[in-house]
Amino acid sequence: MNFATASYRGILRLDPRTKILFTLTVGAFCLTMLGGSGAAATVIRSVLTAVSFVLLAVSGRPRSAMVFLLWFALAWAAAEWVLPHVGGFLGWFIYATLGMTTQTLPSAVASYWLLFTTTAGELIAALQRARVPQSVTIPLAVMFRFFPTVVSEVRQINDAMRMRGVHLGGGKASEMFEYRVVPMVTNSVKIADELSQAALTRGLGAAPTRTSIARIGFGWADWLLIAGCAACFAALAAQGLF
Amino acid sequence: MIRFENVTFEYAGGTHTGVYGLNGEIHAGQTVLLCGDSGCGKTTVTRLINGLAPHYFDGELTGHVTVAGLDTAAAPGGLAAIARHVGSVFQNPKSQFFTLDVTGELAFACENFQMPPEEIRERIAAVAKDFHMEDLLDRPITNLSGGQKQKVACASVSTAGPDVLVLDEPSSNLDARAIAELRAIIALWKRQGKTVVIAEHRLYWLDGLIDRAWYLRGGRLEREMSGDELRNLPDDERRALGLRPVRAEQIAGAARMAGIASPAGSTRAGLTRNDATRAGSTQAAGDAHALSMPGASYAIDHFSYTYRHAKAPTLDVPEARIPADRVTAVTGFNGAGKSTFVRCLQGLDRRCKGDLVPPAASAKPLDRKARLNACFTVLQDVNCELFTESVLDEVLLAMPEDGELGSEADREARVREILASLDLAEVADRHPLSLSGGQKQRVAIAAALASGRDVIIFDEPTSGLDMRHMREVAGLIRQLADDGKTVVVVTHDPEFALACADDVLAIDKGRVVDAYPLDAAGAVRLAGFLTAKV
Repeated sequence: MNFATASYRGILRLDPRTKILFTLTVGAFCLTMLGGSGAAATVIRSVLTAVSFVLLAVSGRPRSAMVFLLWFALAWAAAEWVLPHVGGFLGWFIYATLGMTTQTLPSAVASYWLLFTTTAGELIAALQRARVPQSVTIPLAVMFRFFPTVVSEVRQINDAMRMRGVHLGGGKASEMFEYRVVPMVTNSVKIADELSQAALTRGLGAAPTRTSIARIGFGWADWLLIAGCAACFAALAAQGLF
Repeated sequence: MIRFENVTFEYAGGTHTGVYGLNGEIHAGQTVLLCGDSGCGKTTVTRLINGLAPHYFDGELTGHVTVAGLDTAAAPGGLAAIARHVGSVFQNPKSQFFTLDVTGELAFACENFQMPPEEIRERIAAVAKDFHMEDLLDRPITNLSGGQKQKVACASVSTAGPDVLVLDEPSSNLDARAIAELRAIIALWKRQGKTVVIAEHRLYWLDGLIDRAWYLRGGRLEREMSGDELRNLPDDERRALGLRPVRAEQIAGAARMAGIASPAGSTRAGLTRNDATRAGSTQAAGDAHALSMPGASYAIDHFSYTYRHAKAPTLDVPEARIPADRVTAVTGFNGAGKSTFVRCLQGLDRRCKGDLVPPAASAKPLDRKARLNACFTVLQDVNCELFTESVLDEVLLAMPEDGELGSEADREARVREILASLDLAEVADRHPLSLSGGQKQRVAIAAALASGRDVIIFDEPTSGLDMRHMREVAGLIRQLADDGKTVVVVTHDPEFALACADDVLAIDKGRVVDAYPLDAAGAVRLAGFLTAKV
């Protein structure tokens, strides 16, 4: 999973704070099942799920949105038509799988959309405007910067192990996990050390706040989405379920 | 602009060479080269200028380092205050980026210094224009080539407009084309009146840019030369100092000598002379004659490699030959497909297509899975292949368990033999990660030998090595070939290729475009291909 690298994708541009709020709302209702199984909550959940797919589609990833949607539809259809006819352990297994899929997929879609459409620079700028201190934002930025690096290190380590016959199906499968950690950790530490040097010589931490070239700010679409999220919570509160 | 007064710096723990009794001054607008063997203290001098010593690296500093009027050790604001005046470019493109996209990277330093966003955008546009890199803006950094990354690193220090620029071995991972671009960037800084300090091993590409050179040894400034003095150093004296060629012609000159009198001696000289008579007929890749070389050789049969989501193969080599028991240099620019070629040869993943046909008439063609156990690659970053807790275990891990050495004791005896031959006997029980870079590389070579495989591949084994270490690695590689191994060396370093290889396979855009023996004519051809135009 990677942060986006270009700020303009698709036709819709939202402020990172709005995106975070929306992702949290989807998480609250769909993942942690806020509102239980009441009628209002079910409606809210369906709307949020649908909006997640739409947002991903209009943000430049229509194909991913379709794949996620298809997956979701299949799980839902299976729950509706297959599950009632299967019993026993298999039935329980299918039930658990489908339940997990339908419950986590909307949040996965929303998170994917958040990460895919937000550059690290935008996220940090937005968090800074929300008065989150640098001691939080900088480690966050480093974390995302680190993912691709670690992935490429792991690939090289895999190559080295494969040459030594240490792979699944090879004669030395038991060493496979044992040996992987050492070079990964030592290399990560070395890279982190060099990265700190590079960042410090370019003035990281020179001032308590940084300026940013990321263009962030709230537009009509932001207010619309924020109002929508607020409405979801308000509807629940009105039912006295909070 | 930069002044050292009686400067002595010793690292806490004494892990690296410090700097002792350094006195000297670098005037504004000068370009100064720091040269000398690995561990001579030149990196420490760069750290004293950009403030990493003593602000990041703990140690004892006496004397005064003054940069742009600031006493670096005592400057209020520490590193950040120095950072406004000094921009730093490092060796490893993997670890000097803080963001994921080029534009964000160019903005990074300016944002830290709280410049207004509008001004930052203007600066980015101006620098991108100066560096001819408008097409790189907004692109993800991970997708860039090594040369492009180094360009971004230079541009990203340039946007904040420091007066002093410090570069620590910036050309280590670069090919001839990228080196030419780096040269253009340094020439631009020079025109802009910046003070530039460069620590380097490869020197020819700086010819004509250097005003002064500091030669360091054991942490002391042993000799100061003007640019012209460095340029006109007699070859013997230059070699005695352990310096690589300082002018492009010297590489080609060494090439000519290498062709006539082989440095490795042995059988190679004889073969080389035979090849010389054939040199006239070697032409383009499609020409079957060009691909055939004397003696037994491995034949490549339709190698190809297609990345996921890609329509056309990145590598496509219908036919090529790798002479057995010799050293073949695989050369080409960054991104030409050299590393993909090595992946294919080693058979590292499913996408590697094609067979390798061994020289023996009775031998079966080796498909991808067979090659996994027939070849052994020494990776560029040896840290990725050190897994165990002792050097001995490390080498044992690579040794096949079902080989002829059945018992545990036999296997260990054989490993100790290999370690002794590589001057590693004394460190057999040490942790591999506690060794020096050169020793780690030799451990990887020991593992290759222990594997008992016939084809040994080296992926860029000399990036960032000084002349002495480069010659050492070249010697080890020659030894492998003399012991009957077939060696393939990927490199874009002409000096190294000339020191160790017998034959050349040139790769460009995923195709083998040239193949020739490294005789007198071949050496000149190779030097011309791999040397940046200065």
